[in-house]
Amino acid sequence: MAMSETNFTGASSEYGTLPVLKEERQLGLFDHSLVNIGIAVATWAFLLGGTTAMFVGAWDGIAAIIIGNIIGVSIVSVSVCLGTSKYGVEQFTFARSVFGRVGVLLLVCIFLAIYGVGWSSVLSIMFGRAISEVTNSTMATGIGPNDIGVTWLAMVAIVVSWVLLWKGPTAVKWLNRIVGPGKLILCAGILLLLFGEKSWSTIAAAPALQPFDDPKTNFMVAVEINLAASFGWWPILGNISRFTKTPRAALWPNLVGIFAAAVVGETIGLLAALSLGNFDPTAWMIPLGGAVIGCSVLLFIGLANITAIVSIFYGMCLAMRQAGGRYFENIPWGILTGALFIPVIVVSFFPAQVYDKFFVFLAWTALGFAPLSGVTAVDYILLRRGRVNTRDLYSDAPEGDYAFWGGVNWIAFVALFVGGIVYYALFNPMSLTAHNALFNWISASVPSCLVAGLVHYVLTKRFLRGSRTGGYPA
Amino acid sequence: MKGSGTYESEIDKELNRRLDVVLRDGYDDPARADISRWELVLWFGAAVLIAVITVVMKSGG
Repeated sequence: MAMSETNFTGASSEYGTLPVLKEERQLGLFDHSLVNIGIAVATWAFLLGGTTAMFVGAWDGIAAIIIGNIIGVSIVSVSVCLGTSKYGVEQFTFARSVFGRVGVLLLVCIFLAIYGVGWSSVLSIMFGRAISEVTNSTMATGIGPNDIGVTWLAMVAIVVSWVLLWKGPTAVKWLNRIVGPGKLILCAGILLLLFGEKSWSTIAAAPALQPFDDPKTNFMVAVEINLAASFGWWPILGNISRFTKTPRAALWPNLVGIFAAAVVGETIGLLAALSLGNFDPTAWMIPLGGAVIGCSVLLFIGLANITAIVSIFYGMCLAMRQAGGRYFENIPWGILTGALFIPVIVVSFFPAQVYDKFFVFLAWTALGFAPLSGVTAVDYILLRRGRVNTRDLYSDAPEGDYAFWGGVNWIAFVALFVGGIVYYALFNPMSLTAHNALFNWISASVPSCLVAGLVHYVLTKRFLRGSRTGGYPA
Repeated sequence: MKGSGTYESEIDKELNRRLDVVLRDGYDDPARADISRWELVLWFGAAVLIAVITVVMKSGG
């Protein structure tokens, strides 16, 4: 079984960071769209829609969802999908061209660990709450939303996700061929049940659940939450698009599969939350559909959550392998992935703090991912004009193009820092309140992304153009 | 390549093999074509159009 041994170490493209060969590219326009639909119409879309309903009503909510998602998805797609697809290189290996070999390690430790563990914990707790609603309804178990029973069920989701992750992206691709379209049917079903009970005019007139006093601030906070969610695709999309067959197949499925599917899922979440007066999707299904339909829907949602956790962790494990170098490359895939699930298990013991406050976590991630998207897009498209040195991406040699200064491109980190400052100067991610009146007009993520990209462009042109360091063209 | 020691792992060998393949002159992989400038303009144009239409509809509604 030499082949399978090879596949379960880093010496393969699917389970490691090595460049993908032409015959290994599996995703055309159609399959890439389905994979993206599978991850976009997860229950996190319902949760985001429900969170949007805390601040705005139906019409403003739909507008906020569309605006936030289209801006973020269009920038992130260009930022990470084109380069990883063209060179077939794992996203964090590719990011060495921006941040340097050691710089990527910092990036993985700071951003990805928090992001991957945070989102996976939210989704596994939601799985726990969904299944506990089922057992409460069918077996009268009486598990409360923050009881230990929810944590045990969350662990079931983690173990199942780990087994699926062990099988790699091929298993996820086949699972998504069923779960992806199934979730669209689910969306249609929820809409039918929703409008079977209440008219559009009733839902459209429903007030926001916990708004601030100022309507302009409420709308921009709703946009900002959706911007945060869409910039949050940064660590995920590149490791899927590296398997695409053409640049067109790398880019456009993000419009169909990520933007459109997320908008549909979030809008349904928004309307359901406004209609039922609760932001939590696991609390909607049984009141909406009755015991039988509600339980069936919750079980399916649990399955859908698992595909999302697998997608997040696949990218995270590849990044860890890249960052860990030779030591992580030689660790069997199953052991590496299992080890990385341990912090998720720990966090799932705190459902009230993690799940019910998830939008605070989301806003904090935007402070990192919005400038990150700006810097990486500007670096690849404008500064490098779509060209990187593939061999040097994998080189640890001090004379390599991407050695920078001690393995770190400090210019990119300065740009990230300035972008983060701009974000915080406009918006407080802890309290979700504006730090500056400008926030109500320009949001926080968009200026943060633009300023970070601009700073990276100007400093790189000033200090690195034409020099050997960084390998930028003259 | 990775590291400077005498030991070359299975991964290093596979990495070198793959790099030799993808960097070979005449290696034909449609994914390695550059996306055209007009397609990028179309991409961002579509995004801006969607955002502007939404803002106009919200303002009008």
